[in-house]
Amino acid sequence: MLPEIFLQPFMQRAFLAALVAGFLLPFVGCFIVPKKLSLLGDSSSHFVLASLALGALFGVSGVLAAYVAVVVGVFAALRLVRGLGLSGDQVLAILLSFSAAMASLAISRGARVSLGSVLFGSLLAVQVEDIVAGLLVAVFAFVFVVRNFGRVLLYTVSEELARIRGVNVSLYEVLFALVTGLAVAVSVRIVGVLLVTALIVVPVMAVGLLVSSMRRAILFSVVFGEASLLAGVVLSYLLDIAPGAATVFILIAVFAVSLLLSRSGLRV
Amino acid sequence: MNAVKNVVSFEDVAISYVRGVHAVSNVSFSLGEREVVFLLGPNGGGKSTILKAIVGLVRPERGVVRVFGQDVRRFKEWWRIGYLPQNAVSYFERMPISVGEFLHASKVVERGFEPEEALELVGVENPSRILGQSINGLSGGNFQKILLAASLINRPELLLLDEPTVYLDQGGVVALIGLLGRLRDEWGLSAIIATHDIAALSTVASRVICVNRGALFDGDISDLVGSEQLCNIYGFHVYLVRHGH
Repeated sequence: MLPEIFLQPFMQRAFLAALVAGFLLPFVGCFIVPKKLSLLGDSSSHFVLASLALGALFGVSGVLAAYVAVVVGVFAALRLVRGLGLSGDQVLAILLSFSAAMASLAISRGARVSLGSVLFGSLLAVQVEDIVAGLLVAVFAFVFVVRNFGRVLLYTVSEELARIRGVNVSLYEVLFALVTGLAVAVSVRIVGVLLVTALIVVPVMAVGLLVSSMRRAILFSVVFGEASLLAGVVLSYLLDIAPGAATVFILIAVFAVSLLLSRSGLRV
Repeated sequence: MNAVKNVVSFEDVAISYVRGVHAVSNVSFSLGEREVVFLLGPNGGGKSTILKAIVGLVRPERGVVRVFGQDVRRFKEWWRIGYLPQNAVSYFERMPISVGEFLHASKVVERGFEPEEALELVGVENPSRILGQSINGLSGGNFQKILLAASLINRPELLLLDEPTVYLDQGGVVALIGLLGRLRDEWGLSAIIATHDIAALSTVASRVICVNRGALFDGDISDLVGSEQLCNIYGFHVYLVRHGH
């Protein structure tokens, strides 16, 4: 007999969403953090918040609009970083504030958004469309990275070095925006707008203290992300707290352990 | 028809990062096969900009840059060029990437070296031991050697080195000199070396191009020493001391 937690349809959806987000967010984080774009997750999730609020205000709902909005937003952010010659975090901080201001404007003009579940995640808010879209993005991203590992590494290290090794940097920029934007968009409902960044940044930071190669960083970040988010969903069900919050506490605890292990000289 | 083909040529090139302010202007020179030339000039004088223009990272506002006879805007055979950028340490911050992964990624043609061979070429002792190490944990000297190995891994015909002696001790500089001379003789390698450390490297080549927002001198190092050109380039009096190797 399966425990009750696995029999509830909404929990089955939540576990599937956690599996997808637990893979996608740490996976993209392995490339976002070295590119010094750690705020990209926050900016992307605020694009989602703004698109949800504006959609509610104008009566245009649907996940597709949110997906398109966030992908366009991430792509615009990357182009601005490159075009303006500013640091990534500066541009992203501006875009994050702009998105939050747009959401605030829409809500103050009457948009009805369930802020608690959007900001901090909810087991009940998961939609099947997010799981299916997330699964497709995850398969595409994984296969693409495996087949083009060297080029993806060079693109992550430096777009200049990648360009002079014949990497089509413009194409990679579009794909990077597509995968990152969709990874965030499909994860927001389970993890929450404010806590998406934790799953992008903390696993690769924790793992980066202990490993010396990207292959291991990707493998252990994903394992760490999956375990943390699934445990967060279980805790959320048992303790009736937001899944994003439960996951963040677990992530930070594991990061602290990684820090201690790295100080003791452990390398994998 | 020229007996010696031009590997690189600049034809009255001007480059700007900010509209109306030239980083370099009126730059014309050419580099032949098996030729090694130094780019000399003060910080901000445009040395790195010239190297970046050769690999297509910055576009001329005026004039034409040709690589192997082709306009750089249409050039595709990037494996023929090895490029060692300046201040590349920052590229690898926050990135757990191993030496082996980076060198594998840098090899883009079949005829290139295996990572271990490239490390041996640049004088890394015990290459198999270093392949699994994180690039972030390397000493400055070894980091520079890894970048040099990556720039040579595709057996390029043209090598561009931006301040290659930074982080190298005297032994490393001597090894670099020996390597450049050997690759020129064995592969027919051409090279442009942007450096302040021209005295240390002056046994590799004698041609110097001096830049300070424009090409101010193109000739033999012996004509430069003691000339007024150095004062014009640096804006103050400079003494050039030759070392024996």
